[in-house]
Amino acid sequence: MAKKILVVDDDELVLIAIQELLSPLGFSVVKACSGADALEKIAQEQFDLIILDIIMPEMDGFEVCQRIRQTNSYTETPIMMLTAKSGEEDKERGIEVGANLYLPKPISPKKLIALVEEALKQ
Amino acid sequence: MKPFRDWKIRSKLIISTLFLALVPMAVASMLSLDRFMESLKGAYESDLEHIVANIQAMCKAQQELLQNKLTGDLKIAHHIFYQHGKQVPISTARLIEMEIEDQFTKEKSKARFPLWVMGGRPLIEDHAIVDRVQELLGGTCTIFQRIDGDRLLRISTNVLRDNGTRAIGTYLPPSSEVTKAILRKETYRGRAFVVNAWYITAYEPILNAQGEVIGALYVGIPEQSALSLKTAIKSIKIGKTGYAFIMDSSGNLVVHPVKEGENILEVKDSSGFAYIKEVTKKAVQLKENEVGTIRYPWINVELGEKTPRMKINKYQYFRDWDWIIVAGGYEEEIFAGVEQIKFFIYLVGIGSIGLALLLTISLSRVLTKPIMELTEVTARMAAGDLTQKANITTADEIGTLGRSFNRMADQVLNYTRNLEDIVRVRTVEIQEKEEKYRNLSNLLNSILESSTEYSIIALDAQGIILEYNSGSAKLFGWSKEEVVGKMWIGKTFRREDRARGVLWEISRQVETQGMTEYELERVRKDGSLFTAHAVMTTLKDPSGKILGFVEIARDITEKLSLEKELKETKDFLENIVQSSVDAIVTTDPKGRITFFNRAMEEMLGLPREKILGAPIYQFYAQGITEARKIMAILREKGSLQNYETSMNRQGQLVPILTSASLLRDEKQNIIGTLGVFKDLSEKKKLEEELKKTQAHLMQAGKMRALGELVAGVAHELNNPLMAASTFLHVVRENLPADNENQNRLELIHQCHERIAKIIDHLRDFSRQSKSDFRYLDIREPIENALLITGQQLLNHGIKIIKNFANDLPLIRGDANQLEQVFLNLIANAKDAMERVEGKKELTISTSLLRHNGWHDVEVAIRDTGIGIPEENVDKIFEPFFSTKEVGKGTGLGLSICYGIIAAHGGRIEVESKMHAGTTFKVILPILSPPLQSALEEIDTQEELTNGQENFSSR
Repeated sequence: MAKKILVVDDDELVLIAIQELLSPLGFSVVKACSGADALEKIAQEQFDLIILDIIMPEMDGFEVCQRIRQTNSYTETPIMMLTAKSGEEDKERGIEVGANLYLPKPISPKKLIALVEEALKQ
Repeated sequence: MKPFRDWKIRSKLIISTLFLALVPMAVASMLSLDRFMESLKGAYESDLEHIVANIQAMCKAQQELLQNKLTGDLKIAHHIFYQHGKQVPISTARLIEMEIEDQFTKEKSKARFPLWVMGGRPLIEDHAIVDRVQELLGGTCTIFQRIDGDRLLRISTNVLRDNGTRAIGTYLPPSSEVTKAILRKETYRGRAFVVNAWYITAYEPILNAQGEVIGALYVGIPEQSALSLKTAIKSIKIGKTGYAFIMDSSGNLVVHPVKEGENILEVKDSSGFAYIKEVTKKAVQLKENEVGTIRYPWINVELGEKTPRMKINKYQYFRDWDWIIVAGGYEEEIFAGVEQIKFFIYLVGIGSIGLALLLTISLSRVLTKPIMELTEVTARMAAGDLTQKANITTADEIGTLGRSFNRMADQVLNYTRNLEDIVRVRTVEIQEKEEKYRNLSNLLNSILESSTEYSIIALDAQGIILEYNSGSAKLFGWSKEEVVGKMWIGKTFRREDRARGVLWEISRQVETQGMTEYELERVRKDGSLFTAHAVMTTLKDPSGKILGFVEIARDITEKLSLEKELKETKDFLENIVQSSVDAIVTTDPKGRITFFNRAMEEMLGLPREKILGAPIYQFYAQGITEARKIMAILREKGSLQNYETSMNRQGQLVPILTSASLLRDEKQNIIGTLGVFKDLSEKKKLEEELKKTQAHLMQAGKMRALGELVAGVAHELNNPLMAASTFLHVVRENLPADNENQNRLELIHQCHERIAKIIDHLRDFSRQSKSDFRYLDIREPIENALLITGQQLLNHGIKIIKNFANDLPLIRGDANQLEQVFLNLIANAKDAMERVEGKKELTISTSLLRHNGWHDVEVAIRDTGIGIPEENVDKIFEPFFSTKEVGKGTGLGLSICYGIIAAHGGRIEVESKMHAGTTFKVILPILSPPLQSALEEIDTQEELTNGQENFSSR
């Protein structure tokens, strides 16, 4: 069964790019363009990995992550944060809200692939 | 006979004059007359002697003259005689008979003698020779022939008889002196009677061949040639009738005024004395220049004289001519003049005596009259009539006396007249004085009594109290009755003072100096003490003897306490003024400093002497213009508040805040100004610092804004970049490996990578927007950076040397950012040493910098790398400046570091030397609390706005 990945980013371009990148690898990539959208989507289906952009309007990645974690079925799901700022704070905050992985923007495709595969390996 | 003293002046004068005039005169006359007569006589006799001597001298002279002539004549006659024939007269056989005559006796006789011939001429006939002689010489010449009987016969002559014929045939008898001499073969010279006259003669013998005397040759001058001599002698007048005459030793008068030729041998004087004979006798015995004197009485009967008069004659003997030279005259003639003089003297004498008497009488009258007058006047004055005046008008001393007397009389009169007035006035005066005295006495008493604040005590010389006023009673407590008449004053002094001799000291001072002043504690009757100021003076009588003392004292306890209070207040105020931190200064209306406190001294940094009295405008930075401005404001508004200006502290500008006001006296006149200067240097400094920091912060803010912008940009870039690289990846996956575009796609991929790096750097650059400032030890970020890079450095063979100072104060900063800075610097150092030969050392040292009271922490990172070229040193902090190759380093590192340190309020400095190494110095300030809190505020505000901005930029 193909793993399902939810990608959350307010930038359409980024969503397309990641989908284009991961789909050929046999992953099923679902796009969400906002936090609210993401929360809707996770209610609809179970994802194996969530990739969250942090800087988003209305609800930033941390809050989304927090909310996801509060959802019963996602307490263990690996969540990857895309950090625009490479700061300690982001990491700390991420830990607080339950994220597992961090990928600084701009994202190198190879790195993204590597991390995704690692995250989904277990 | 009254004593001379008591005689009347007149008599005194007369007698004195007589004596003074007469006696000396008489005596003088007598003496002088006597003397005079003596001298006259002497002179007369001397005269006579001189006359006689002169005559002899004349004769001698004449004789000599004649003799000389005759000697010469004789020689010439001789010469002519013998030359004429050049031979001796020859006695021929022819005989001559003739009658001859004795020259003297005139006796005639016959003679027969041979004829002499000379040169063929018969001499008795031929008189050429003698005439020749006469022709040449004048005078006479005779040739004598010796004939029988030793007679010398004139055979040739030009001596003439009375009848004018030649005196041939006259002869000289053998008795003649001439003959005698000739026969002796001697030349006879002298006076001789020749034929009929006296001649001055010279005879020389004529000798035959056998040397026998055969004759004589004669030359002669008639005595007549001595006529002038005789005339001269005859003309001598002696006195009135005296004269000179010459006689020979036989009494024949040779020269006589009257009786020449006479013989006076037998002449007798009136007493019958044959004085002439006497004279001849004496004369021939006289030595050559000896003078004889004879006096004889003479009477000229023929002139009718009755009484004989004495005559005096002086005589000398001129032996050669047998002349007795006599001169003389009546003795009485000597005194002829004397008689006249005597008469004259008597006349004058009597005359003067008479005159003297007259004068004396007149003088005595002149003298005595005023004196008599004075006597009378004084007598009358004594009798009471004071109006008398002496009538003395002369200008001499008596006149002066008279005038003085009159003046005195006037004075006496005035005086007596005034006396009554004076007495009257004096009486009035005395009465007035008595009244004054009474008034004074009353006044004194009232003073003494009214003066209740002053104790006035009078003591006598022993110290017994004489006077004691009510003030004393008030002050000391004792009453007047208790004290007067007693020795009490010592009781008012403390025992201790008395013991140390205070009373003695006071009395000594007052006695030597007349007064003394002292402040001492005094004792009241009740034993209480009070401080009194007292003055003690002496009372002296006119002779200087001390009669007593007066002490005036007052209680100054209150005054002293007031003074003490005043001093305390003054000290307190002074203290306040001096301890004031602000400078306080006062000036006089002209602006000269009259007072200033310590703070002013410190503000100006000058010694007191240079400040006091100096015009204050000297110390304003703008000088007198500023002073005038201030003064204008003061005058207009009365005060000046918070006026900013600056002082000139020896060239340094000191910013001050001044408040000033005018000082006025009670009449509201301006007497000066008061100024308070607050040193604003500290504040200004702080302000400067704040401005600087604000600038920094502004800059930091700007930087932050920029950072924000950049962060925004970077962020915006992220997504498209990510998308692009993802799509690229996909495309590359989809294309075969050997596709010709794979290279191009690879290059595009590399572009993406570069873009990503740039965005990363941009993000770093912008990361300063959120600074997390806290107090930290600077070692923390350094150590962290070294932790990260340490291994790598070692791998590259770089030695790390740490030189950290101890006890550096904490700085305020963002640990992460500082770490970033140090990482960057260390990385640069590593790069610099990459290709260096030799030692590779990285030295990191920390130290504390002090300047102007501010402290900074300095971190120095030194490498031994290739260094930075000089032209690049300024540019290294510019963004995008890089010396590295393309692809290595973006050139943002140092500019980011600069920004971070700037935001910390510090700075980065660089020192570099090519091929030697580079040192970066990071200097961070130790911020003072106010600034810190200010920064904190700014930070908080930033944070607040940050989120909003972000929001809006979205």
